[in-house]
Amino acid sequence: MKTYLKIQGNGLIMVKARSIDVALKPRQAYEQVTSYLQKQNYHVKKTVELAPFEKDHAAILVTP
Amino acid sequence: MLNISTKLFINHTSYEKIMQPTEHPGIYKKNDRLFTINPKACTGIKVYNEQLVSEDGTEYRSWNPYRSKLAAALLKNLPIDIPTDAQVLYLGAATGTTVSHLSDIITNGTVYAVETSPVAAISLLSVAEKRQNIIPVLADANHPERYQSMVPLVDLV
Repeated sequence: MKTYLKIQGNGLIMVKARSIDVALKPRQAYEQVTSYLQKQNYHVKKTVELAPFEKDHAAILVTP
Repeated sequence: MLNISTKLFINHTSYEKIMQPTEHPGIYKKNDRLFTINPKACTGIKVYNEQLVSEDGTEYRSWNPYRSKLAAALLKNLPIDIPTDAQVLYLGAATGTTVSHLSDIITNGTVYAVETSPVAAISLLSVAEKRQNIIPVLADANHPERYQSMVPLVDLV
């Protein structure tokens, strides 16, 4: 993302909780991804769960 | 006879709404379902057996939130701007279903669709052939340096 994104650009990541760690609760999996992104100096704008359309998925919107 | 009149009643109450623009340019809503405009070059062509709806000479394609996570996120009010001139890098384009709708939305932009599976890329290619603003890239998204020569800086990843 760092390679390709403009400074004012947006990054959108679809997270499948069951692919991060099946043992975690989905929310904890999203938090794990969110804190990883923050460590990489991304600002997390919004996390949206995709239920009922996709179970245990979330969309995470970030800016550099 | 009674059956027919019941049907007509339903038609008039819930199915006669017209296509409404949303807060996102290029994305429309009808009966709480999302639609994008099918470009003239693709009239009558379905990408994944989605519904086509013609209204006032414009053809719309329904965008299924159960198949496209971007559509699902928009229906769940994700606050994202997709300007019609956006440059988008889409990682994991697969068969190009979501990419086709992005292509409908960003009429003056470009979507760089990266997919690592040659089998999925076959379907992606057939979508890209009819849509000038899709650049299909057969590469592993985990190695951004391998497609750097083909993709500029973008507004959305």
